[in-house]
Amino acid sequence: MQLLEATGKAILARAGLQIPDAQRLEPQQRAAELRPALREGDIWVKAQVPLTGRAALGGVRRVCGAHAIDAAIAQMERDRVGGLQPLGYLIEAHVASQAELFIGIVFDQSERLPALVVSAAGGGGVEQSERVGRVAWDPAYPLYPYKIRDACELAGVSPDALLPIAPVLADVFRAEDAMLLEVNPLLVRADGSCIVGDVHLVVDDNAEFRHSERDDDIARLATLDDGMLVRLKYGFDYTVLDPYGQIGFITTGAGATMMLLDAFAEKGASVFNFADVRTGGLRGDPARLLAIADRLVQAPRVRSVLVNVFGGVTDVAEVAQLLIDDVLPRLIPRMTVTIRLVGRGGKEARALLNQSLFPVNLAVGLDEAIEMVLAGCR
Amino acid sequence: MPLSDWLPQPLRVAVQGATGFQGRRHIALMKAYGTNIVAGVSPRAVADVDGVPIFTTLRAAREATGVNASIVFLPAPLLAEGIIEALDQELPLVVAVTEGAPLHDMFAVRRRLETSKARLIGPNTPGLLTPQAKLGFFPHEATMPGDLVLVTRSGTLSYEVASALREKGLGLRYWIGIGGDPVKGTTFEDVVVAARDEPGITGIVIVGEIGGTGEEDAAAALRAHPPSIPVFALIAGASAPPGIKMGHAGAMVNARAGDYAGKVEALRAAGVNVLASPTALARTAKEALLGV
Repeated sequence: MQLLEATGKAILARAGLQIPDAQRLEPQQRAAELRPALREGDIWVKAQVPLTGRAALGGVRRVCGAHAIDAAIAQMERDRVGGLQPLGYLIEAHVASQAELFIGIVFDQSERLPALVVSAAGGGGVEQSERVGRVAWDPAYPLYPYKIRDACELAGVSPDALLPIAPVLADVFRAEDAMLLEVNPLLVRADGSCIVGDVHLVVDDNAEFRHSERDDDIARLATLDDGMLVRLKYGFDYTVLDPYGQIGFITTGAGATMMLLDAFAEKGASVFNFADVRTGGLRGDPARLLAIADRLVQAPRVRSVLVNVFGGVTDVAEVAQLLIDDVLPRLIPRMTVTIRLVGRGGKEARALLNQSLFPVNLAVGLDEAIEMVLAGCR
Repeated sequence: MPLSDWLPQPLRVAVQGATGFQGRRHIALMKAYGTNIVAGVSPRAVADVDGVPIFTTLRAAREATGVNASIVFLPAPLLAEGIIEALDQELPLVVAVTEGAPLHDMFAVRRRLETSKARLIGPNTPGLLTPQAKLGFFPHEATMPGDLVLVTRSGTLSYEVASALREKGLGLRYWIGIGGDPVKGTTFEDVVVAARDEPGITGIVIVGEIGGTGEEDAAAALRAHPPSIPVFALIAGASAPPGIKMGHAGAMVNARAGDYAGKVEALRAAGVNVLASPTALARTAKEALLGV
């Protein structure tokens, strides 16, 4: 998950890097509550949302004076930033710089290791930059100076400014269980000192058990991200893909669900959500199934729901009973439900559903299920 | 090295995390399938689980029972320690089913593997299934013994593929889940190369998905040394939006690599028959292998 800029900067400041003079305002706070030095002069107003490209989304404004700060905040609140209501604002003094660099440590899936990435084109230019220095780094070892010099040479950047910065980023990357840590821009001043202009810190969800210090931050972030909320509360993956999709998924297995998404996309149908319920973790509790069902009922256009479970370890007859007792009563009056429960306990599951007298479509084959779901949209 | 060399003979399996919910459940299921489970490992003071003696360390289990393979059912925070304990005991085969391994823990495992001769399968995998042994929880009822190798990142999608193949009369000799995590032991490339060297295998089925470069690496290996047997593939995630993690930690397209089109192009360039659904894959495999 991506942490807020203010959180990332606080972490980097504790690690010893310089950050701009700044103060965080909560959503309801205004410029009157700022320190005097930040109420005047050249100021950045930065919406705290866990998104990249905030400037292009209207979430970063350069202003002058308290009135302009309040006006910028009011506009961001009204228009939202990338569809999100900001979780406060970072009010930052502008830093004059001679150069803007990009430096980051990024997990590289193809190398299966992190890589140090450097570019002379900080700010918005890194995507287009033709000279990016990229050097793999194994976190078991220090980020040796030769690697930093290698990356700088490849990027055509003098290593002087980055030699003291990169090892600090490496330490933070390790300590925070990060998957990505980018400083962009790194502001290089006339005296050669560096200030973190912006930071993009993505941490590993799977390592949260050893980062209780982030619990409050994550609880706040979850108010913006329903998928994160579901993951934290119920322990499975759920993402809204198309808020106006007509088909809802109560499915298990990431790969199987992706394959089903592809099948419906091929037919020109739009699916509301991705779900990997992990039925092995249900253990007789309908909470996960209900968490999705309640969201599907509230979705504006979902008319047809697919329940698909191939029982490997899971006895799908148990899933059928949970559907009958708890889930179908919520869905059936409003939408068509197609159920495909196959694998372990499949016959018993279909018998239970038949006996329940709920008007559902029961499928055995995948193609059959897809056709039934599509018919339910018509 | 052919695939059959990955399994020590006779197989003597230890279960790490034997006294937890999953460990207990799967000891019974694996034993029922016929897997030779000879030891369990747990710090809890338990004499046995389903008749399998429990030891407090894998070293003690190895010394007492001669285990030569391990299956790890430990919770995610303990997974790396469990895998490294198995590597330290120089077991030739380690299967790690646990999902949710922290990425930085897997960097440590990756590093330890560099100085180990062990074959690690996983993590985040249903494991390994052959007609003789089950290490993990693949639903063996979905398939039947045969001469295909099925290698997959996704458990559930491979259940569908195995089931569709079975309906067409095609069975498996090896069903191997390499797992959906971005840092793992065995790769697609490892499996297709070993399957190519395995006598009697009539075809290879690759079940891939977006993210990473495992499918492309396997395609490069096949292109360099084309097998004499047909290779089929199904890749999930054609419609996945970039930047969104689709369940598996490894299933995310980023700007540099891992998109659907690139995988399909690489596989087709290597002569792999890429199909769009389990049904289509099974139908095509049947036509190619059984001539009907």
